[in-house]
Amino acid sequence: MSVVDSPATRVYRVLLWCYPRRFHRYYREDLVQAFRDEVRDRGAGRGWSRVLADLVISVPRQNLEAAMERQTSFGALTRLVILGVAGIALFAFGGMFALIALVIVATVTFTYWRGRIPYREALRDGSSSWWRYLLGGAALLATIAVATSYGPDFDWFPWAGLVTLFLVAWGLVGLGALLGMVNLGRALRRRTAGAG
Amino acid sequence: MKRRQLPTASLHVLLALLEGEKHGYAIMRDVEQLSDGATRMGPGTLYGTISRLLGDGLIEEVSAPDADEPGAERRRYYRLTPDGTRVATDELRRLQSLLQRVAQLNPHLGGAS
Repeated sequence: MSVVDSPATRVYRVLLWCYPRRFHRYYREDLVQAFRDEVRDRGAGRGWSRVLADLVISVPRQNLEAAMERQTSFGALTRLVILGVAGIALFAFGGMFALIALVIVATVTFTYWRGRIPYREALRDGSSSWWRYLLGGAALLATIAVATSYGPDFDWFPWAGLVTLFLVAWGLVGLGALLGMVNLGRALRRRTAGAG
Repeated sequence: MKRRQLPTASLHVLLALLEGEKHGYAIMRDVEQLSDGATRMGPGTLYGTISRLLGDGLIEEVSAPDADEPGAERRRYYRLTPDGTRVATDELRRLQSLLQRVAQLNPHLGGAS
């Protein structure tokens, strides 16, 4: 028997897209069913207030967990190639933002290969996403650096869009750094626990 | 091996499942009843907790008792694994012993044991 969604359920279905894809795909119908039960038993007002409060708490948590637990699909060689290409591109095009991006990437790479900080454990332990955010932000910063180098030649250059992109790039770098620190903290704790 | 203390939400889900297999909304309702309304889970928190407990091997999915009936709602049911039962009972014992110790150290509280 197929259940026809009420308008409220349709709205809730849309909100569920805020969850990570895998969680959404697996639990979507269960979440919707629980929402229906909640609204049926408590009424729309109380049902919605609980569900909205729950979304505020559980969406960031699930996304953070998913970002930290996603398994890497790149091998070490692929990482090396990506870092190499990114480094060459950054050197080639230069600029202040590119320099900052290069410093970020170089710091992460150096500490990773040096091995004193348990970056390897942090990456191996399903924590690959943070460096993608970091590299994505760095790549965007490099792109902006290139664009600003050539931008003054164009009258139509979308400066407002560029500022937005700049903020997005730093947002990605910040998110990557935050996730990286969380993963690193976990790896350090595990290492300490293992030694103790 | 000593297990890390369970988060409150996980413990409540395990305790709710001590009675037997239940679907998600029944767990939500029972958690609220068990905690006398102090712990109220929304669907996202519940299924996030369920996902973690499944990953830890403390609960498992079972087929719905009425899954074959025509018109039956599609629901996933969960039950404790042997490991989950052990963890839940260990946690209950730990809480009981904590309450007893607190009562012994603070006799003026009265009725705590």
